[in-house]
Amino acid sequence: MTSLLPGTDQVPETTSPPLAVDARDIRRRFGEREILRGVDLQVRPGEFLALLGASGSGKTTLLKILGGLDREAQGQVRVPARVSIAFQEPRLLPWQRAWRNVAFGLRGPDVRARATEALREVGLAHLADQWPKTLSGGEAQRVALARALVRDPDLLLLDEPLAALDALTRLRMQRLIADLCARRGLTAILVTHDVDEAVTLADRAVVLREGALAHEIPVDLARPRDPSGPAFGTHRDQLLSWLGVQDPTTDLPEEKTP
Amino acid sequence: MSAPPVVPDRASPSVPALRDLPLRAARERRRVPRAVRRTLVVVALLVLWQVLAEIGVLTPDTLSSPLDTIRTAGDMFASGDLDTALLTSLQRAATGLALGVPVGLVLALASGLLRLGEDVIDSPMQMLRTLPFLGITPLLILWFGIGDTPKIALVFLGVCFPVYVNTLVGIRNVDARLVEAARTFGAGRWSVIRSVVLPGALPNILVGLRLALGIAWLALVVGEQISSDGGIGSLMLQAQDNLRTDRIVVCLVIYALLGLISDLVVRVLERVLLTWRQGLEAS
Ligand SMILES: Nc1ncnc2c1ncn2[C@@H]1O[C@H](COP(=O)(O)OP(=O)(O)OP(=O)(O)O)[C@@H](O)[C@H]1O
Ligand SMILES: [Mg+2]
Repeated sequence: MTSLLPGTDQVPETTSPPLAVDARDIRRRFGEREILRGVDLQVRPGEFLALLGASGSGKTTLLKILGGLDREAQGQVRVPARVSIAFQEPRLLPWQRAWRNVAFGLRGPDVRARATEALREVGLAHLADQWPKTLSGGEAQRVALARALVRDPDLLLLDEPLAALDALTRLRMQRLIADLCARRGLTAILVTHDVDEAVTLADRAVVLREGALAHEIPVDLARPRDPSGPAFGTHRDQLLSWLGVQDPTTDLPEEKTP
Repeated sequence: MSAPPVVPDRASPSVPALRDLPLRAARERRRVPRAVRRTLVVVALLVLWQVLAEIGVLTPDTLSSPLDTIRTAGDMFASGDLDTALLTSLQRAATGLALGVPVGLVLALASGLLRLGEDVIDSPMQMLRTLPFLGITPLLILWFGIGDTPKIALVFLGVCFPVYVNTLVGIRNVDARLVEAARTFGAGRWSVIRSVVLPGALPNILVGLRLALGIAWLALVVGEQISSDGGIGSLMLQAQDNLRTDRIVVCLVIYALLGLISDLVVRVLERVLLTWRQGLEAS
């Protein structure tokens, strides 16, 4: 398969397109249980990928491997140097105030200003001086999101960053993430259980199942996307059926114990 | 279209008995009398002690009365005995602490952060720890004779271990997920230690410090009763020779006060250093 790039000659078949993530045949086992059994994942620069899958399917495990936090995994992984992660739990340092957590690891003269700006973007500028233990669950999660967004990464890994938020704040944060990624051309992988969120934000959605990326769907819808539109609905239904969710009045499939 | 699943009829709800949870208003009513009650007990015991002395149940050569003790304390201050002894003791304790706390800390850091350190340091420390350090006193006297050195050495030994053990526990209990997060955001080894491991271990380090302060006084009591060369302990030794229970009680009270003050110091340290823990607003 060859492709034509505008303004260039035909690309020789041997040159592969540039990638922001190139992971091949990733395997990870915990004791007897093989959680990842050969995951292949390529992400283009600037692409927004949504990663879905049942609870316990290994999404966090995969994200940690991509983030370079798991040296026990097998396979080949190539990622950029600067990777930033918003973890599933906020993981804020309890002994540093909110803004210092956001600023963690930043260098330069205007660190405080940048951190405050990032907090303002997630709607928490007024809590900059608060201790993490005094933040609500959703606030802590947003501080963690600000910490991930503030440092122009080459790859942004988001592990259910909006799970603890109310509907309105969640919409705001989705918009913020979409804006930032578009504005800075970020490459992002978003783990989410919210199918609508995936279709709203992603250029492509993949479903992790039984240790491999079992399904994949490109989302070529114009932005901003309208969840009530028909094309949106098609994508939503497709993803839901891959996730085993069908008509609410039918019996649910049995839970599988691997 | 499959048939909708059968929905079972709702069972009639069981009605639970409700109970009151003690919230603020309910608790507050009891709080004031409680503080008063505690003070009252102490005062009552002192009065009882005084009365027993007055009616002759407690003779002065068994235990001096509270009032006599206060009088004696005044005399001892006036004569300068107490100041001198107190100063000597404080100096010894401070020196022992100033040596023992950092050594305990450094050993714990080396053992908690470096695999090599753990292998080399931890097992000897755990072995020595089981030794009751006060039992080493005779050896210390043989090595250092009398004077300040054996006392300081005793404080040093007593202080070193609680600091070591608690710091190590603190380091081991630091949340690995926070370390992982810090690494993700570009923290190097040293930065992880400084911004995650040390602050995370700080509560335990302070527990170690509190224990160390208590033990420092204990070590001094024992160390200074070896020989009459200054300090509160030797003051007690003299009082014992002269059958002066009043002087002994004064010394005991001084020890108690020193313990109380050290505790207070650590409490203040905890308040200042661990504001994040209670979520107190430090303004
Ligand atoms: N360190 C570990 N040791 C043992 N088992 C682990 C470990 N980490 C993850 N697992 C197991 O791997 C499986 C996948 O975990 P993972 O956290 O990746 O799931 P997930 O897809 O992120 O689920 P969720 O949507 O609930 O967050 C789980 O069954 C979990 O028990
Ligand atoms: Mg997860």
